[in-house]
Amino acid sequence: MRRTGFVLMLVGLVLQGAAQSGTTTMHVRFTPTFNNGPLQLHHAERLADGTPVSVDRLRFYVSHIALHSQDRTSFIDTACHLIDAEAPSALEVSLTVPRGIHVDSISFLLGIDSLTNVSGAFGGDLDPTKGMYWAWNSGYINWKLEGACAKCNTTKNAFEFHLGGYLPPFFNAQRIGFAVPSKGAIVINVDVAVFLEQAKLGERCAIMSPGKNAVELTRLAASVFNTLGRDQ
Amino acid sequence: MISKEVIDQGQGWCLQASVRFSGQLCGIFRSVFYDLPLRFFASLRLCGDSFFCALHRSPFSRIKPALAVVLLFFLIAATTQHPETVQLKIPAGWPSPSYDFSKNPLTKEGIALGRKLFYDPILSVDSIVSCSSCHLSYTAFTHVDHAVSHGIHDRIGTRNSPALMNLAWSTSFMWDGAVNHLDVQALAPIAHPDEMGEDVAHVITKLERSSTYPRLFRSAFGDSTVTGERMLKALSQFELTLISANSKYDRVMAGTEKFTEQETNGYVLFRANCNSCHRAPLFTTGAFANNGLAVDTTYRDAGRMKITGEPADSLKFKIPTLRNIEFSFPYMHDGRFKSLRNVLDHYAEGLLHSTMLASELRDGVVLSKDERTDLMAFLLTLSDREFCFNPDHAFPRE
Repeated sequence: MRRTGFVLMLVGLVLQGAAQSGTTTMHVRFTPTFNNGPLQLHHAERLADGTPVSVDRLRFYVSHIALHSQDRTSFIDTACHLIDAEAPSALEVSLTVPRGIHVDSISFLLGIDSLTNVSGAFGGDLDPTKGMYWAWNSGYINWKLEGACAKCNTTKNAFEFHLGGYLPPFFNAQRIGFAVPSKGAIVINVDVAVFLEQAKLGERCAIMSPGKNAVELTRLAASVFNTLGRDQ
Repeated sequence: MISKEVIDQGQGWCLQASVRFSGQLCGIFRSVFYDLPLRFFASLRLCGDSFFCALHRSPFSRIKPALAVVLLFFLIAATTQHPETVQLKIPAGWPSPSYDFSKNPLTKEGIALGRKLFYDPILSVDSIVSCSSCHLSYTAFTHVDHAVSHGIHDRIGTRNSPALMNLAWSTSFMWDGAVNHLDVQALAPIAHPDEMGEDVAHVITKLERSSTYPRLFRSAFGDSTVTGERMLKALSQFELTLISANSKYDRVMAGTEKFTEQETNGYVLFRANCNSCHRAPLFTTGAFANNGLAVDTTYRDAGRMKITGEPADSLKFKIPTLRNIEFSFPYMHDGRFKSLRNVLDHYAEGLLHSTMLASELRDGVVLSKDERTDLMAFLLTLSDREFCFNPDHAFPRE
């Protein structure tokens, strides 16, 4: 019987190994930046016109990552990933992709699709305890950026952008895509300075509900994603 | 557990909620450490001798070390409690539920956990307010005699607490439909500063630290990890069992009782004047409507428009069920009417005509004083005392 058990386990391991031999791990790394340097939370920075600004929190969802080769989609990841500037481990997404896959561009959704938004409670990165789910009006927050800027005429000059919403006409999540070199981890910079420069902080410092402003600002957020290529 | 007489008449279909045991015995592991020892035990019993003697004499005696390991796993497997599947019985003739049970299969342990959470003020920041503070089982899970409810530190809200029943058929929640799924409904009162005023992540921390909850989560979900998803799904499981389908109206429809003459008159009036929005068997269409109420000058509550941003949704509120309407006074989203008589007087005499008024009400509702009395007699046949006093719905005494 011991032999039977051993053989069974061995067969299991071999089968598992065979199933995995055709795959490899590809990393997609998000690097929050402020201008060209790494973003430091709770750190005094300056906008281009010299206005003091600091960022206390940056969190966003990335979902439906697709890898493409010569305009054909070669891989789709159906999971939703929470990227958090506060947690170094939550800046990287690992994809299990077919070995030898050729990738020349990547696309993904900044935010959560509408089906997930109406399908109840989820766990993992989508658990409502992650601070990225609205209690008063069901739906995920796609992009959360908080901090302070002298341009904001608010308590402690605070700005709070909780951007989300899935109902038309204010569907909030934005598709982002760009070409990437063919080797190494895909590195994507997220330049918060560009967002803050263009967010018109003098006019609006707190957008925390779905609507026109939220869509406009999430489009702006999507525009600050760029890639410098792949990390060899 | 659910009302017993009406529902299972052979026509109602059953939800076969399958139980999943993630992280437990499965596949090869199960066959090696569970099925084989089981057969081994069966062979031991055939020896007709004591266990240890049998061990020595059996052909398996040469492999005692392996046997010890196998026995250990067998014991673990034997002591692991599996959640017990619960089949929610759907009342005969009712539509299919909207809730997707495949994503949250009901189990006895899951329902018990949800029930404990429902009655536990641990969900609120000051450990005083529980779900049941505003949703009392004996009054069809609403806050009787409160126009609007009070939460932590006696803070007063702006809306009348809705009665909870037949939630598996609801497609939106709250008076303005702000919540789109039963599983995420509890997040709203937990976080609201006038209700429970708590951070849901902190609730999870408190549950993790409690002496009882990790065990209950293990019973319900296979391991003791406490997560927001599990807490919310357990609450849903309990709430989904709150089915009210055994009122006098239901028994009359099933042919086991008869309306009085006055109730019959009321039923005819109901079908002519109310049925298009409060449609049987749920006595609501689940839609939103402007029913001719003037805006309250204190709350200035725009209703559905707050969620959709559409001016056409101004002053629209969820059409509530009329089941157990006897217990859920005062009425309307802000509890402005103290009695059913006040409500019927509003429809007959007080409708505020506007471009947003529900089309069904545009021509007015003609009801004499006597007809209103008859209609009330019918509405009282929607009371389900078995539902209100079902011990399975009440505070869980241990």
